[in-house]
Amino acid sequence: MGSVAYGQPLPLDPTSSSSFRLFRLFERLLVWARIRFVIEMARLFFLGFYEDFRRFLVGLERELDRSETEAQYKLLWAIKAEASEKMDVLLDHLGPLEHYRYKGQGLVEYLIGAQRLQELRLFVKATKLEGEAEGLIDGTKVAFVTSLAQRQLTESQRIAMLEKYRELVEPLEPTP
Amino acid sequence: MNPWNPHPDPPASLSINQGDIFELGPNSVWIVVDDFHNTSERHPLVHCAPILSLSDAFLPLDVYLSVGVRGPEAQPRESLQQELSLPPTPSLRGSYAELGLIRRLKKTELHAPLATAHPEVMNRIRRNLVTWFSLFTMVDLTSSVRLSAPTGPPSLFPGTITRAEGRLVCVIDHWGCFNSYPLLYVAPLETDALDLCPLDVEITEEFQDLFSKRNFVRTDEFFLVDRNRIEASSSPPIRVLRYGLLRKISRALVLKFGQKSLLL
Repeated sequence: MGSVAYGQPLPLDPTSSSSFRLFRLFERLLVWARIRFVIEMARLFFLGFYEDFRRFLVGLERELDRSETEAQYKLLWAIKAEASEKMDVLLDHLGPLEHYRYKGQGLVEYLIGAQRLQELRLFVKATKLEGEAEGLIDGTKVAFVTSLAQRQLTESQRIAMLEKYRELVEPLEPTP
Repeated sequence: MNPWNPHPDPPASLSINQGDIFELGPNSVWIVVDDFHNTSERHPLVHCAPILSLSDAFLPLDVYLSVGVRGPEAQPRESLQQELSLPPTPSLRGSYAELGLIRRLKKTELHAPLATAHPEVMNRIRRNLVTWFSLFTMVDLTSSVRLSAPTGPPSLFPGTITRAEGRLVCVIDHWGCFNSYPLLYVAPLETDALDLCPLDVEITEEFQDLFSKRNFVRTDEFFLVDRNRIEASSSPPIRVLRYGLLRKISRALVLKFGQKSLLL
């Protein structure tokens, strides 16, 4: 640090100097550029991921449709459920960034895109819903397979069912 | 536009709820079992089950509605039948919701419900309907040690695409198929549907005709047909859907009958 003799005028505060202001300007530019670089890279990676993810989902649904046994179906369903969980975690992590704005819009919207964000949220929600329904279907098997002997109809019950059907339905026809 | 319902009714009342009970005439009382689009103006029809007296009920998944006084002959005959409570409506005591005879009624026919079923009744109806349309295979039936083996495979399998009532349909009735019921629930097939509903299941992967691009099973529009008529017209069947598509159809029906709230 330099010394100043008593009686000499105090030099100007260097934090008010043009060199300091220029430094701050360049420093901010540096930080902004680095953040922007990170944001753009994140966006780029996400867009690449998103296209892969869409293709993956289309293929997964096709394979689910093609599955011929419960085991095959469950295996594929587990993959879908896991993907949904990971996506849910990602969306949770992105939550705090929603308050930041970037280029005139929310940072998350900029990174992902409003429509893509909506699609991902719908995917997570729909998969959770499907999972609940899957659980109910599995649960009913117990009731189904343990009551086989009790649910067969006798011949008279079969006739009664048909008669009741005709009695109830025909007066109300036509209805699609 | 739906080709089977080209002239839908004007917008119906939006106050129809799952569990509402309506009287349409003498000995014609129905309970709304649909929980999917009861409040939608776009859908003029809603699935309802008839309410039958004790002497007319015969299926193990029928749901007992009342806690009225009953004699020994009125005891539920099957383990899955349940005694459940209902608001005190004397005319409905000792009656059953007959889940084997569900049909679609016009919303405009349903005015001023007699009563609304107790939530416990609706829980049982929902559960039994899920059981009815759940996906079961011969493996499920033969692998259970608690059962005597079935006498043989059913004469008609769920997922069979065939013709009934002059149109292409898909058999969706697992309970009815495996129990050889004389009536079966089927859902219509539609080609290149425009007014898609979340309950439509696309089966193009499995079933594609020469001229269409996409085919859908419209689970939301299922109806009953006489089993004999299907068997007469389905030899050999046009196609039997694979397990995965059947699972999606079952899932759609689970959502239709009572898990819609999960979406909210």
